[in-house]
Amino acid sequence: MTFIWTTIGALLTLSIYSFLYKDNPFYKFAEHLVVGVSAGYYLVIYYFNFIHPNVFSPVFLLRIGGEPIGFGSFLWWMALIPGVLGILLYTRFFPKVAWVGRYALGVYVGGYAGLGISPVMQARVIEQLRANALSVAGEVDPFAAMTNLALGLVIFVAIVYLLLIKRNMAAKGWLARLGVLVVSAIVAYGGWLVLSLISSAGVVSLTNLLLVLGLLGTLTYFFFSMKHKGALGGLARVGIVFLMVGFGASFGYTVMSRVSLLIGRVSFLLHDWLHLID
Amino acid sequence: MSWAEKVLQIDRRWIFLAIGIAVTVPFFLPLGLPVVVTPPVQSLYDAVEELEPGSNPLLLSIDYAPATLPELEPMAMAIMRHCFENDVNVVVMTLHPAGYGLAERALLAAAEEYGLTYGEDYVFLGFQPGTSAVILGMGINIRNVFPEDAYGAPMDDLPLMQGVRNYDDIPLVISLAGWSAAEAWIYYAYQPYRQRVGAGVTAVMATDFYPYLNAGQLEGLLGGMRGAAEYEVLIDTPDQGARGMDSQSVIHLIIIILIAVGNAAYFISRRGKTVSGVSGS
Repeated sequence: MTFIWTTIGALLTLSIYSFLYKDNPFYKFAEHLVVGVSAGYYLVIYYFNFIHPNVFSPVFLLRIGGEPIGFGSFLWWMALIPGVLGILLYTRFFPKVAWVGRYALGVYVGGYAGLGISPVMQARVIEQLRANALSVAGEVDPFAAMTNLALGLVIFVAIVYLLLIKRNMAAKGWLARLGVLVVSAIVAYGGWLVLSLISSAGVVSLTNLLLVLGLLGTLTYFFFSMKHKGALGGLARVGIVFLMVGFGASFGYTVMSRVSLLIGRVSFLLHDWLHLID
Repeated sequence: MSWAEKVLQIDRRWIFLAIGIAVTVPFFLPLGLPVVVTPPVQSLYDAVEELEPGSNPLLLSIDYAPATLPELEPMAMAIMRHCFENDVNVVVMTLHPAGYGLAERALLAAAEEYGLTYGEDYVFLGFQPGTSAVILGMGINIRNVFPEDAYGAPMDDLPLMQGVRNYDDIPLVISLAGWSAAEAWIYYAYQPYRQRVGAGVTAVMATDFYPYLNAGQLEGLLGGMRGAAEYEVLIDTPDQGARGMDSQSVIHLIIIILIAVGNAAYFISRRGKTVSGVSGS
């Protein structure tokens, strides 16, 4: 029996991937099957896990979790009122009384906003501000120091390239550009050494410095109340560099994610279905 | 037509074929590339390792659907194996309607490997809709949200759940999610109740979670199949995650080469057009 279901799954997988060659009836069939099965599955799951125990059972069977409740009791009303509000949402299908559904929507939006504003503000703003109040004195860790150095060099050179070379040296040759890059790298390395010497811990956490610099630069890039000129423009350009690094990381992770799905399906075909690999 | 123009006009189905071969071949000819454990994965492993055997259970929220199964199921299996190996009890639930069957499947498979007893060593709470309300409600009393387990048994009939009332009795929550459920655990369990939370998310979501990790709101983070493979290395049980890492590496190499060749071809073809345009005028 398991083999039959696995074979059906394998054939549906192959049908879906056949779209990569071109659209075809096998793909259409598999696509429609997914939509239909999903709709049916969700309906059953939601009814038996939510509507039945939370609305139908208390209101009509007068039971919650196997325990009896009284008709007209507080718990009975607490099951009936949300149930009625839920049904009101469907009045939007009837234009003449669609406005009634707005009351239910208002309760829904208000409730979730009330639940969400405080913890979301705390997690996404307050805690992030606290996390960016960083010390520049890092731990004496050779690996971390080398990582900081490498990261610092890459970003510093990128910034110098954007601010100096691209703007002022566009007309000059590649040798001049290379010279500026080398000088920038030496300056970055020298700056790191100086900061290391003056830091009480021995090694300056360039990661922390870069994190704060990246935060300020990115925030500046999205600050539209003033023209991005002068120092503000420079900081906004720094922000662009950090944004690009962020987008690059996201792209890499996205590729990994999509490839993982393909690997999962190939593994299913070779391992679960054909038993060709261990 | 120059080689650059030919490259730019290549039928993309050849690329699909190359990717398909690159995925398949490493399954038969493993490269055995090393999987280096990163600090976020090590942190989550350490958090689980610190749990006392036989004490209050770890709560594993399996919040994924079939679409993200290849990335997140290896994580679920690795974490449950780690717990069961250390005699740490596990309570599994899901906030995703499609996660019910997947969570049950993973839990029963892991429990069967160790010959564990339902109700004493592990419990399956099932699915409850209303993510934020569920997480907040469990902070007051789990029985308010899950009066029964997934199979209709009252909570107090399950030996494992008799001493578990709310987050005070749960040392660690781990959410494995292919959507915003892991963030919801941070918002509604960590923030109001200071419940320790760990997360395993799809790779495409991972970058969104590093700020929470750096701010100390997460105990650790597993990102995609790579995170699962690292966890499997830590528990010394290579499985689905580790199996796919050779294919991952090969495909990433191919994609890097394709990006480099594609960009080179684009710039060369553009320069050729510019030169011909200038000479033509």
